[in-house]
Formats: sequence, C-alpha cells, structure tokens
Amino acid sequence: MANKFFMDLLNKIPKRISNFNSLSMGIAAYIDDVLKSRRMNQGDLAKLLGKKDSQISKWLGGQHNFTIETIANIEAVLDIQIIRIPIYREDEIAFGKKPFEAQFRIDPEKMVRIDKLHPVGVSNSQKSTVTVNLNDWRKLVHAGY
Amino acid sequence: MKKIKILEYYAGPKAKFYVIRFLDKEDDEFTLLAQELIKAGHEEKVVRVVGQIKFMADKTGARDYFKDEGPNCVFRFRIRKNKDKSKKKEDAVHPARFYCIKYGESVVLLGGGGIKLPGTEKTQDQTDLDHATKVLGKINETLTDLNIKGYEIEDYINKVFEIEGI
Repeated sequence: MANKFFMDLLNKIPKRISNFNSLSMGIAAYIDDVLKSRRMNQGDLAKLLGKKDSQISKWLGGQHNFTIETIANIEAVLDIQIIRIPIYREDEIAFGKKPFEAQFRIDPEKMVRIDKLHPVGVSNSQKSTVTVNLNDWRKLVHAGY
Repeated sequence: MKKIKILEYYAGPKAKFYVIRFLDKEDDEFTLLAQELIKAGHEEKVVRVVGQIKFMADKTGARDYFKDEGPNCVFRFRIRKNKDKSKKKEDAVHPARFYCIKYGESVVLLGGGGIKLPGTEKTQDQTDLDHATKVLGKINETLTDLNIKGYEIEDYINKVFEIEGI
C-alpha cells in the first residue's frame, strides 16, 4: 500500500510538471532503450553527435529540457522517431520509420546473443532465430541478456 | 548504533521504492526531508521528485535518472534548477538533495538529504548532506554484510536492522 503522505503529494503535482516528467523521462528512456538494443552506450551516441559524454548523461538524466533541434539531431543519427505529432508526422511512419525490431538467436535453454538488427519485414528462415518487438527487447535487456 | 526499519513507500510494475525509518524518529527519512523542504518553501522541488518516483515506478524503472554520489550505491535525484528570473536568487542556487541507494533499475531505498548551500563544493563539505550519504552508505554495508540483495529487500520489510557507526 502506498504511503499516504506520498499519495497526498501526488495529487498536488501540477499538470505541467507531470507532463514535463513524462516527456523528459520518457524521451530519455526511449533513447536508452534504443542504445541498449543496438549495444551502444552513451559514449557512442556522444561521438555520433559530436558532443561530450557528460552532455549525453545530462540528456538521459530525465530532467533535461530538450530543444527541438536536439531531438531532431538524435532522431537523425539514430534513425528513429522520438516525437509523433498527430497528422503532421504520421507520414514518416508510412515512409519507412517502422517499429524497431531485434533478431537474436535462441538456444533451447535460453537466449544466447544478438545477431543483428533488422527493420520489420526481413525474413529469416533459420529455425533458431526469432523476431521480437521493442517491448520484448526491453524485458530481455532488464533480465540481463 | 541505531535501529532502523525498511518500509515500502511506492511500488509500481517497473520499480519499487522503499524508505528508511529510524526507530527513534517520528517518520521515515524521506518524509521528514520532504516536510522540512516544504516548510522552507521548496514544495515544487518535492513535488517534482514525487512525480519522478511515480513515473519510474510505473513506466521506466530507476534508470540513469540519478547522479552517482560515490561508493556504496548511493545516488541522488536530479532536480532541475529554477531558471525563473523572477524568483529569488537563493531559489536558483539552493538545489535540494534527495539521496537514495539504488539497486539496479527496480529497487530504490529513499534516504534523507537537505539543501546544498552556496559555497558548498562537495557533499562532504556540508554536515547534514555528508551525514545523509554516510547513513545510506552504512545501511548498504549492513545489507551487504547480511547478504541481502536489492531484489530481496521486500522480504525484510518492517524487520529491525541494527546499523553500526551512526
């Protein structure tokens, strides 16, 4: 059962603060997921963007006030879409920004490793290879695979 | 030597937050700190941290949203500075410090903290902040000595621990 003092404070959070948290922390978490799924670290992202590691650490700290330009740059170097705007950014989904998927080998006992990453639709005839969506990938990463 | 209990604070599908309560105090360290900061006019900072806790517990887990405070798994919450120029200068330069122990991305033990004063360079330079981090460090050492892993903490809720050295 949640602490009463905590729950009372939750009811006092202004909408602008909960919106800010969900945007900044959500964006940080999504970028983190993408990096982990590609076996990249923050230093790799820093190199792609020509930034210092400390800057990336600040961005992924969950309280950063991202500029549109920063988000656009991150989207470009990682080839992902972080922000979706109804109507005005839906075309990008139709033009190839598909859900991110990872393929990896499984042995009969457990997941073994990541082989490579493919966009949706790439077929693989090997019985031991399975395609999962990004949500499943997060579960695997958190389980330590 | 002090006696403490670990209590559940807020649990979500992605992370669980616990608090530390000294048996000789009226409430847990996080609540006492939050109440002190609210009284001192920093309610917005407290509310931001509460919002972060909920978001981590419900959505993302306790990721790199913390600043590392050195050994013993002690971290602190990242809190945005107030950049509103209409506010008093003190408000912009007195960042609140909420310390915790983080075990991976799914277990956080909330501790105490305080307000970092201007001129304080390191945590060790300010008595209340240094004490808060040392207390958490000792608690982490005790749990480690007892071979209690982070994910096992829920099995020790409401049990009394004796912490040496504080």
